[in-house]
Amino acid sequence: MRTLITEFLKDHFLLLDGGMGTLLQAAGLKSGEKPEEWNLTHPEVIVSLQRAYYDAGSHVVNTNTFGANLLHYTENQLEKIIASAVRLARQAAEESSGAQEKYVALDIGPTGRMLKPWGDLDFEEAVQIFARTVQIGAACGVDLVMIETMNDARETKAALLAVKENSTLPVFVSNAYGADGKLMTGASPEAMVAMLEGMGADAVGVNCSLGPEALTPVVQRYLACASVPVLLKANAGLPRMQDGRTVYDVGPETFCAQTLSLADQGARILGGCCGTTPDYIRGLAAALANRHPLPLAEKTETVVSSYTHAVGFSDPPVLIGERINPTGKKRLKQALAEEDMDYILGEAISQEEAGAQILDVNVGMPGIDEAHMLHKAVESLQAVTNLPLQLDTADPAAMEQAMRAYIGKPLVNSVSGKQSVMDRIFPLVKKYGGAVIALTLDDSGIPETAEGRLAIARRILHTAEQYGIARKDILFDPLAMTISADAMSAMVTLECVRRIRTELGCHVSLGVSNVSFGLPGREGVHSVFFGLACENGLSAAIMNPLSYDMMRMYHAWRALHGKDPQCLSYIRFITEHAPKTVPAPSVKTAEPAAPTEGGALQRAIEKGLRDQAVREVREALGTREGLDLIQTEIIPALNRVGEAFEKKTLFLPQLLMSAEAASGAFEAIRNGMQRSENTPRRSLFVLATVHGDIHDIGKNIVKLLLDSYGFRVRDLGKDVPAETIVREIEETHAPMCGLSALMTTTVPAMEETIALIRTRTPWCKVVVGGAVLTQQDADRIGADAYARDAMACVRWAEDTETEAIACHSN
Amino acid sequence: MELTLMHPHLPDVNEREVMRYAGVRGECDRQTKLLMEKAVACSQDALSPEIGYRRVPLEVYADRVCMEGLVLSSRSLARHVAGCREAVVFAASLGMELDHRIRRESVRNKALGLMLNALGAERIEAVCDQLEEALRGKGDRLVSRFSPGYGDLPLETQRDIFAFLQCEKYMHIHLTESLMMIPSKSVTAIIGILGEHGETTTGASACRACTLADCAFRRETVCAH
Repeated sequence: MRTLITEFLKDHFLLLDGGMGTLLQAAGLKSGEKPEEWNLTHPEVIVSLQRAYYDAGSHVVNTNTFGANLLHYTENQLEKIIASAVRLARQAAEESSGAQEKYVALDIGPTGRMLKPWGDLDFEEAVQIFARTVQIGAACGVDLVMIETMNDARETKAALLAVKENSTLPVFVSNAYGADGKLMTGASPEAMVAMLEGMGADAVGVNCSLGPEALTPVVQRYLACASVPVLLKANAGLPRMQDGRTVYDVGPETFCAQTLSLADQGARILGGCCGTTPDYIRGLAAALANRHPLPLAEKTETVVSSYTHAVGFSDPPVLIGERINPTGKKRLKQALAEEDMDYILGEAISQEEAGAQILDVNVGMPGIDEAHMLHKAVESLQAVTNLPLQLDTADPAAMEQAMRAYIGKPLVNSVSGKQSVMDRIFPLVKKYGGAVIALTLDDSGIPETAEGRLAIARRILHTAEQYGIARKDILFDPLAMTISADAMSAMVTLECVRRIRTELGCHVSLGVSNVSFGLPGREGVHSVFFGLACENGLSAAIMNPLSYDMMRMYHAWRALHGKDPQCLSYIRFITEHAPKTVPAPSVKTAEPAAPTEGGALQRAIEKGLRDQAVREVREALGTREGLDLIQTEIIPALNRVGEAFEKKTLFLPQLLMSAEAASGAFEAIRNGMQRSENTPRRSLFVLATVHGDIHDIGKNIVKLLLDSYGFRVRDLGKDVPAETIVREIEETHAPMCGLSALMTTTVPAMEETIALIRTRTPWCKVVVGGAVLTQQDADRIGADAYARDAMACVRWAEDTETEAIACHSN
Repeated sequence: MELTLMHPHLPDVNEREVMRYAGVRGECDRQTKLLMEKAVACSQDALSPEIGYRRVPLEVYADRVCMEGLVLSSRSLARHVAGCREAVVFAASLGMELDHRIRRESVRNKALGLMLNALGAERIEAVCDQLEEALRGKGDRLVSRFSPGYGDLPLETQRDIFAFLQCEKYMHIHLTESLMMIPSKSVTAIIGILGEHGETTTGASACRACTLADCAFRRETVCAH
């Protein structure tokens, strides 16, 4: 009976195999031929190569299944290929003369396709593809799974999830880093370790792309943050052409010396990748025979991560931006109701630029499908921001969907001392990984005393431990409540902060602004409370990073604690953000008066000066109605720009800058309006890039222009199936729809979409556009109109709207 | 011949070309110029150009060309590389980060997104130019590069070129089911290499071969080298 590999690893180095592809090519595998097919056609070659690795001393040999998945083989072929791959590796182990423990690993490489949002492969589809390979491999009796050469964090997660959902096998996960120390899609070693450990990988590491020396910095970063064993399977240097053949620069001796240097620093699972042979492995085996692995050290830092970056809590306070939460925010509610992702993404980027390190995401409000919306928000946000997210929902189903879609290790907001909540959330944390905010309340409410809240905290820690969740992954929120209701509430909370930090050794997060609820000049109160909480050991604050008072407190506190050498950050913040006592000399003078009609607002829009347009609106709103500004200033200015664009005296970038300025002006009017007053809004326009098409710049330009003209745009994004578009038109009764396609290959999808619109939503008029489209194409596929550019689309929308109104009034 | 990889250095930005891709004709105003400068600054650390190519013998027939197992059916390509004995088949890309920047900046400033996109178009062409320069530097005489989608060379050819170069294995370039390249600023093309005789051509002739007659980016004047 073999020792379980995870047991063996506890006090041994583990030696893997070396390169396979290069050896197969030497044995006659042709370029373009699938290596896995050799399991069926050349079984003796596979066995002899794998036996050579076991003979050289490998404990683990990978099955010849790197590309064995449903994208490359039919179900039937796949079963045969994997079954024979496992059988051949077992045969090699049995035939080998080596006396060491021998294991067979099911090898899983990337699908070769890019996942969304970069590419077109859906995450769940990828999970399904990997799942089938895992099911077959597990049934054939492998000892572990080796996920390797992954260069995208999302695909890595899909593969690991598939292993976890379809087997109980140990699993090692290895990624391929570029010379810049990142995965192709940008993830850092720290981000990968946080995500993979969170999901329960038994070992993590690095393979392929470079030689051991070039990979050294990446491996060292793994060693610094990983608690599980670290794996290294480097190439024999960089491939190079010589006499028409690929050769590798690093010979066995140098390779071994460089790999062993990393073994001495803590790497425990070692092998080779492209260009390495049994000679390389024999060298490693000989050297490792006299060495003992460094003991594994459990890392204690609390870390969360995004698609690309990790954020640790060792340098408090960590700022968690609170602005993506519809409570009390009319504009965000509207954006959520309309699924206006750009508004939500804009809020994310502003907070990131203001200094937020994590973003809270809460999309719960009446009348919304929270699970759908949170999932969509998470995917959209991860495509534009590198900050980790704090998933904030009380709905366990929404939480699970969001955690599944989230790439990285999220902050989970929240659990409490209620057993039912812990029983629903902790299993999700165990499966998908995450750090959890734990509220110190339970079924009987919030204890009034610090002692009562700590008792709940202890109970939560105990339950987390039973679920296998590490102490470092629990952050407590001892609840800040307003001092206007209870004079001592802030003092109790501060006591909790201090005692949780010192007595429990856990991190503490607070929603600090609650403390001032019901008081005038709220920011004055909660910014001081923020400072006091920091002084008591606060680790993180959920706060508004756009608040001057809060950020000033943050920078000042850090400067006072010697965390800001020469006070540079503080000084920079004050210089950039301190409110000016005298209004800055009007920027208007900086722009020479233009020979245009109308006032300053019109000029700002025509010049494309967004900030100035917003300022002009704010000033004008004191004396004029919003509606008046729209009709007499914004629309005429936009129209002049549009006409100049049509006459080709002005071009697309200028048109867009003006549209941005007009949108800014609209937004300012909307924000400045009284609740009773409503901005008049034009017809609904459903907009999408058709299925299969992932390029959306043209579509986004159309959206902006329609927006700036006041149309209500439902932007469904890119790569949108016909069914989704038609369902949206059905639900909203939109009178107009715009479809974009960039390539000839996606025009058929456009044609199908139009056909579906004709049968199911015949009232809806369709305009099409895109790089390769012509009027003739538009006629052929049955569109109502063709727009040669974004302005033409606006003109069409205006005419169509007018006709529709004329029809109704007849 | 196996794949050769290059990571070329990029020359300075050709501002006129960027403006052309952004749809600007003639002189631009100050705001547009500032916008371009912002785009250039924003792209500064976002570009990681790579090229992978194979140099192979070329056989030209009336309706197709053959290059070591890569057979492309296209009369326009055959006409374009008539007289060539060899070809360079290549893929080039600017890397993923630029796509990320474009997406991110477009959230709040679509004009900047547009300009970054135009800059990307200019930069990837500059990457391709670097390859041609490198070949010319070795004394090769070239006809201009020709890509899938030009003339009657179908876009589906991308699949063959990707397989031929093994882009997804050796480079950071991927192809979607609907034949779009990722990163979006990527190019695949064939460069014909002439013997001692024959007329060399440059970029503009690609426009001449293209059937999209009313393209906004079509180069009006055709210059020969």
